[in-house]
Amino acid sequence: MLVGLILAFIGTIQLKMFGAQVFVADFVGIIMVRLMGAIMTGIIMAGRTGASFAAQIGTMQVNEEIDALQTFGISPMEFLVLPRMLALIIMMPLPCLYADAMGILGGIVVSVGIFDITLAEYLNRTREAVTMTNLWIGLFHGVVFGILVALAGCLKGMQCGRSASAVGEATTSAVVTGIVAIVAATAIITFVCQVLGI
Amino acid sequence: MGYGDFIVMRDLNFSVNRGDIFIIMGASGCGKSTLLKILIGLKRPLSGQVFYGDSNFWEAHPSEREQMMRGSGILYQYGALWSSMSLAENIGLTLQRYTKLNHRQIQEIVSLKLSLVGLAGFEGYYPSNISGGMKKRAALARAIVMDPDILFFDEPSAGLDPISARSLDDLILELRDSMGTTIIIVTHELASIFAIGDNSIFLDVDLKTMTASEDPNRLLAESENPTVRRFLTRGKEGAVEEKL
Repeated sequence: MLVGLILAFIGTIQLKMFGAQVFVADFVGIIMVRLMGAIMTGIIMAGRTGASFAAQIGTMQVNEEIDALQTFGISPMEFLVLPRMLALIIMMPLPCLYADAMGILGGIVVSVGIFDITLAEYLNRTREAVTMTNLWIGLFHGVVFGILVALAGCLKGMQCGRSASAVGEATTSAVVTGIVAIVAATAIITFVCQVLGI
Repeated sequence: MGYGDFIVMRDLNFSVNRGDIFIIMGASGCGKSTLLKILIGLKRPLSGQVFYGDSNFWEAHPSEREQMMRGSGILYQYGALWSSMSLAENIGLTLQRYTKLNHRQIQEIVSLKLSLVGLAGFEGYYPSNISGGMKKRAALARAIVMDPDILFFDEPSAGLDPISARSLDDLILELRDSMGTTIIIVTHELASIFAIGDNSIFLDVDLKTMTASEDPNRLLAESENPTVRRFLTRGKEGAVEEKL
């Protein structure tokens, strides 16, 4: 919501110079739905879920639980990594949609509350500007970020050393790797969308 | 065996008789656990071979190796129970994956194995809710759930009070006698070594090789190797050179 609020503030001030502050709804809606909702969700997931995956799997590594899985002929990839990755892929679109809605709400608060745009006007502009393509691209970002966050968390957990401090290091590393991967993936997806004209 | 260029032990050559309780002993840091990792398929030796019967373990196809591992059970130093699962789930997992037994049959076997290790009624408990000694017994129940031919123990007495350690030793003897399981134990607990060991090897941390292979009680009585004597007599006899 705060991101939508910030975008609305910056957007309105700039657009007002051209007498086009009503288009702030387009600006906030498209950016939130197409990108920022997914990015914010991805970053929160990297900090919460990615870190949690790394800590859980890292602790299992320290306690020899992963060795136990292997010696019982159970693949840690199949038993630990795959379910976590699937869970995040399936669930990511939901918090993404929630983040989109909250971002647009933030835009409404600023635009209606401070810059004299009516609620109906704002909602109409948002409805016209935000297409299904934007929504699908946003959800696609969310799914990709889910994969990256889960991969970073599980990978760092599996690579964790055999000490308590190694679990902390793995957790930190998982968050950093997850966020860097999200930024890199965003750049790539944006470029590809630009090339494809979508 | 070793890590990269660092050699932990070399020239290890020993065989374990079926139905024996075989002890791998030596001072801390001599490579006992590394040797165990090689025997249970967690680490490849830098050179050399491990045979399970006539099958060359490390040369076998991974699926064949997995099959060989299913014929063995491992009790890790601190149990290594899967913390997110109840004891029943921990013990029943391999049955669920590798047998066609239904849920009720699996629960029956789980209860049987738990009662065998003195934990009847603890099916629904999680590893975090039970003591260290109980964790080890639960892990033993998990290790024997598939009725393995070989059981590996990594420091079974570590962290246990003398009475729990003794009862675990009794349980190991009972398992060998009732099921005919071959048992390989990595330990430096002298009381356990003398109480249950049929045969043993001693890994010398300084020479980086095994320096004795014998029944531990006979080693105590007959060995003239000063390092072995020093180890088996808690430093009362043997090498005089003091080390920190």
